[in-house]
Amino acid sequence: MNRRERRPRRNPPWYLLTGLMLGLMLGLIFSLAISPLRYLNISPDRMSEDSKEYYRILIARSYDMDKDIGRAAARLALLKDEDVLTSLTEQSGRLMLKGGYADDAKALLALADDLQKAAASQPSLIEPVPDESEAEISAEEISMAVTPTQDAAQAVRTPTPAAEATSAPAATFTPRVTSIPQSVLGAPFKVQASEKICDPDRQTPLLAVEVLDNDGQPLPGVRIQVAWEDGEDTFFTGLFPYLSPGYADFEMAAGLVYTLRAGDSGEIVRDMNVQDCEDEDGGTYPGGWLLTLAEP
Amino acid sequence: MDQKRLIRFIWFGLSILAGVLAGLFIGWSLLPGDKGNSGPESLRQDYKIDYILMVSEIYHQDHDFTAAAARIALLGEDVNLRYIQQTILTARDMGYNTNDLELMVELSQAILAATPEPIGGSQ
Repeated sequence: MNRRERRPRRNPPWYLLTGLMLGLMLGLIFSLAISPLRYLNISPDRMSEDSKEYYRILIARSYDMDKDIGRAAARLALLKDEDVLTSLTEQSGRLMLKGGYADDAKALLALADDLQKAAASQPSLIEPVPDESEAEISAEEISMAVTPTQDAAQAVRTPTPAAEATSAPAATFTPRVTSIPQSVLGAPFKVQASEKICDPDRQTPLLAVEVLDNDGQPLPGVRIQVAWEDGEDTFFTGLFPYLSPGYADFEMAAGLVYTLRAGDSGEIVRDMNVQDCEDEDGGTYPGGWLLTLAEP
Repeated sequence: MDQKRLIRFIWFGLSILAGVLAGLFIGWSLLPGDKGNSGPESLRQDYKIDYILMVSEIYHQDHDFTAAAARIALLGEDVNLRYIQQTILTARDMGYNTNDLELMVELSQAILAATPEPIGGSQ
């Protein structure tokens, strides 16, 4: 018997290789095109080029408003451009050629111009940030990178009724939005009512405030200044609209005595501190205050 | 013969599956690197806060609510009025100065007044 005839020749399983290649192609198409990997919690330099250009425009337009070159430079540094000035001017040029983006183009160019002038005395403003730098600028550092504005003059060191220049935005609101007239922000808000709040479910007692206008309507956006022996804080009404547009609150600590003022010329409310509330068993727990302040 | 064919189909299917898994692994793990295909919605929270501040500054100057809303919408579909307000609270905790906070409050009030329905989604 011929041995060759006993076993038929077997073809290699090319169909397996074909299946593998087909699957590989499908997997790559899906992972690279249909559902590509997206990073979360990235810094601005990790965005796409289009997004970076958009971000650059935001930086330029906001610089146009506040003229804070230090902050603008810090924001631009986040994009880690090789040459900040070139990036700004080239993008400005592209927008001008595209047409219809004159404001953005001008803002970019103006920023580049001012940055160049400022860099003459402070070259670090436009120095590129090393790629793997450990000193990654955080947004918190940007918020602190503000060159001095009028904020220092606005800070309430003691709650005295000094006639400070209001920090409220100038009357530039357009009629189509409900805005706070500048006069209201300077209104002498007075205490209309104060009551103790006893909430056994709250571990930290609140100093709650509701600010009303002279029609009794709640007022959002009113600055509330609170001071105590070793500190102070500022917060605004309107951040909890589901409670009331004129509502704001502050967590009190036991043992401290607080002083409060609404707006720039409001009545100073003194001697606010944690109150004792009584529970069902006769025990006590800390309670807070609810103040209602209104325009006269 | 049918059984042999069936076995072949099964192995063919398994080889496709193996290829798909390999392709996904390569596409998601080995290749992407820093491809940079992300937008503002992927920014870290503190950078988003600064982004909102910039939008607020621009809005303060031009009062173009439509443009401001479009800019905010780029942060993601879950960004709404409550998100902006929470951002303001976080910014305060982070030490943003009063001026900045007032600008953001101004923007949030414009959203509150001009759009009863939250931007980008429901509360």
